[in-house]
Amino acid sequence: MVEEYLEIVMEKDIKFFEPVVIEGFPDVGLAGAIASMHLIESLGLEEIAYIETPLLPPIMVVHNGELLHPVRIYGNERLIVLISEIALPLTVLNPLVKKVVEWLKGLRARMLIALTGFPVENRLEIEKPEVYAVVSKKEYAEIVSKYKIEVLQEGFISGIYALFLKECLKAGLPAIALVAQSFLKYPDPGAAAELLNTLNVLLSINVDVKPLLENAEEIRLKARDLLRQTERVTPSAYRNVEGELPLMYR
Amino acid sequence: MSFPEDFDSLWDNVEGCMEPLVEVREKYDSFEIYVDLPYVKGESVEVRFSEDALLVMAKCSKAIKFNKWGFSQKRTEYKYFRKIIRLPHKIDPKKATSTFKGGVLKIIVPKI
Repeated sequence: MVEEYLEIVMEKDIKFFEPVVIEGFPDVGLAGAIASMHLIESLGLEEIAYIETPLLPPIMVVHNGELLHPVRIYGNERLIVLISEIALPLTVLNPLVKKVVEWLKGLRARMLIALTGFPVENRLEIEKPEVYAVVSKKEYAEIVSKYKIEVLQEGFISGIYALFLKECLKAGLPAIALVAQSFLKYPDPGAAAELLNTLNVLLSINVDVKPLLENAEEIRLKARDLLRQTERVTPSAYRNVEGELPLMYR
Repeated sequence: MSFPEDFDSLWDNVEGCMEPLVEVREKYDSFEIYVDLPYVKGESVEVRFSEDALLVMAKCSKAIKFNKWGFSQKRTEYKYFRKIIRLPHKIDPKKATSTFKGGVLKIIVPKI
């Protein structure tokens, strides 16, 4: 099993109490990645673990002179945030997601919420991107609908969040994806802000998105390399599938 | 008119130039080209056309410097964007139109 080559290395000894898990790995428009990094900043979350595997390219990150692993886990007893500063190659996605979900199941996580975007052609004309939800089980749709979030009824989903929903379904871990209208080819802090506004409502937290919008130009500039990397590792065949109609549509 | 080959990195540390992210959408009779230009004001954007390519140049409203980043990057001030966009068909630059909104340049240029 390829998952054996992946290890979640804990850096802090934490007694988790049914944590909610936010997944913000790089994906369309980096909306989820930008939102997750802002969430970590805003809540002052500490790095608690990292993912070690020879399946990833030989890359480390340096921040403020400190050497860090590119795929890291932040959080506390009740909240876990998953991020990556490098694009995740297609070959690593399945084993990575399986390993993480198995770990979360062991921690008795309460729910996984994936943050991501879906590309819309007229994004430039949209002032406030809409956020939709995709749920791993139909019963969670009722919970989400209470917060006036529209739930996807028919369609394809693709990318790492689709895998997370699949593995969470198999593991019996409730999972929801929040999906914001987004640019495909540019970093989209506006979409990230709307994801966080929706998360604020869902989790009764109060993350201020103003800095995200005020620093949008700087974020767009800094996120360009990660966006280009992500684009390079994402085959167009599955990037475009979300706009297609499934055969069993009725 | 023809343009020289583009550079591969998004950052040119010698010239202090950045390559913008670009999206080209091919329509039946035209191309829609979107260029992401943070820190740029519309009036400082210049577009030149050849028969099947565009050269987009834009000056930033301020010099951008990342004081802690990299080995050579931290000594570089990035002042403008430049990108050559090659298209798979000949185009009619005289009928091209453009708009600039939220730091994104949109160019529509018909095919010949």
